[in-house]
Amino acid sequence: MTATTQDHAHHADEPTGFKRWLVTTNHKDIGSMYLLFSLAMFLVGGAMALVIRAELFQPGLQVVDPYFFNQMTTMHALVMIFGAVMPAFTGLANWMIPLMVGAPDMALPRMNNWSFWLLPFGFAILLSTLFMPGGGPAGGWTMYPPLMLQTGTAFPFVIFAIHVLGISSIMGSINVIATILNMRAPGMTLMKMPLFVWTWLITAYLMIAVMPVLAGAITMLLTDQYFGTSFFSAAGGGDPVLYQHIFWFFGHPEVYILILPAFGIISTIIPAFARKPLFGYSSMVYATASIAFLSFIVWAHHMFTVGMPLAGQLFFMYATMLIAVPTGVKVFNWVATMWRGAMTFETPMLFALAFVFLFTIGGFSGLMLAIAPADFQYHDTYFVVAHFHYVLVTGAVFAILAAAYYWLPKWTGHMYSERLGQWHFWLSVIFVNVLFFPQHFLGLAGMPRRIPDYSVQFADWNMVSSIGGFGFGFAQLIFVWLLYKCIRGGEKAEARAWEGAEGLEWEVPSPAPHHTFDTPPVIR
Amino acid sequence: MINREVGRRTRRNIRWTVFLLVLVVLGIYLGVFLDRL
Repeated sequence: MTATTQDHAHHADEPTGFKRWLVTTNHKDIGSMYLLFSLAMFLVGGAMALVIRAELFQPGLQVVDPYFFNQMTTMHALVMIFGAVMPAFTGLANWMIPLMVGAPDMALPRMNNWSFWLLPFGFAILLSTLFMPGGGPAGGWTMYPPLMLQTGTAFPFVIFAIHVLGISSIMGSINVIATILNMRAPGMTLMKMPLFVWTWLITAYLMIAVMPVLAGAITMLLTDQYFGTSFFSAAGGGDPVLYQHIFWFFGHPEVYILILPAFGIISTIIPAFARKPLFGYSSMVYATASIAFLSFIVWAHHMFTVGMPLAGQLFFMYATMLIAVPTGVKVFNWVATMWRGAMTFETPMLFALAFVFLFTIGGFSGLMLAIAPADFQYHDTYFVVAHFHYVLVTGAVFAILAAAYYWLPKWTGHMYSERLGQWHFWLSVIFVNVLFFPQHFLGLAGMPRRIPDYSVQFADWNMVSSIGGFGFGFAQLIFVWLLYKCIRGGEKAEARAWEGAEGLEWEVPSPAPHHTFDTPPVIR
Repeated sequence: MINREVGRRTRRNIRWTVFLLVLVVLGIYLGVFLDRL
């Protein structure tokens, strides 16, 4: 694929200072804001995780009271999912999709600005609930009634905040779909699009389909609490299990919203550092679409212990196991791309390789959880916590870090410190396993999740896990320092910062000019 | 506001894309309630 580009200098009449960021409609500015916001939320959510791990360092209650502990588990999840991972991917989409498809900007630039600024507003409300009488939400991120309805003053604020975050996600998705479908450079057919763009297109459709479902479920919680309805109240003829069905109809595709863009990132980075084209491009596209489709028909595997007919258990068990097939196709293709490649191991590649190994561990424990009779034992134990952290931390977060390292030269115009990057990677990969691998043992031994105290038989592995937690947390400060240094200066990056990198984003100078592709590139 | 850097035809296509997606979002949101009422 070859391209011609034409760039313009920064427009002189554009506002500067804070106003530039407040009113900006530029996809790169908005992408940067999303990414920095996501980093801030990652640190806030991480601090909450450290409160949890400090309390669990030893049996007994020593650091926080149990009610605050429950607020921390709930808020940690909400902050990490809606504040850290989703905005990070949206930031990457904002920065990279127009560059990758040869568009001058997103299709709806002003709505793009609005989508971002809803986020700090929503999170200000959500985090402020921690300081309200009765504290923040403490019933888990799933917000099951009737427990959630016992939340104090914070309840309506939490519901409002999640509506706001959902609206932001929906607007972001509409923008991504409108951009990809209508603004690709001439000659860039759908099957010529970079994999990151494909995975984001499918993710955006998933969000369009399920965010309104979450909104509907929590609106019903609100009306049950304040407007006399009984959607989920058995006393009024409703059904609390209905909430779980609606929630997980959103919740399971949400898991894929958090991981499909990561697949796109890994499919971009591995070919660059293996210096080979991606193996099985079209099968990657079809596998992504298959995973998205299957994500809609597996939701009740989160509810095996709630009780359902045998036919339901069998259907959801086998449908869940089917997801392993397209996921296996992807892992095979990544390995086949590396096969006999001229590989080098810069930090983005290291994180991508760790993703392939460790995400697969999370995938395997997911298969174990899919087995209905086995799930009766594992359900609500630390085994589940270990499983989804392998998927979301060594999966989604590692992919986001890989992407940040890969595209930092394009964003800042400087090469980051490879030495610091390698330190960050090795400390992260060691401590993340010290943190989460023992949680498999704890879960298999029967330790329940969301509990601030535990039996002494679980003491040793909890101590190990907490040491891993603090190690992993502090290792991330290296990344913050590296990022600061890279933004401030460093070795100048070339337009094509990586020898094996392919794609339109590497055709423009580093740092990418404020305006790119005012004249569409020609794709041959 | 639709991106002004693209042609008229693309702007019209974007408008249609957004209209259909908003319709889907509203349909799903309201459908969750209507199913239970």
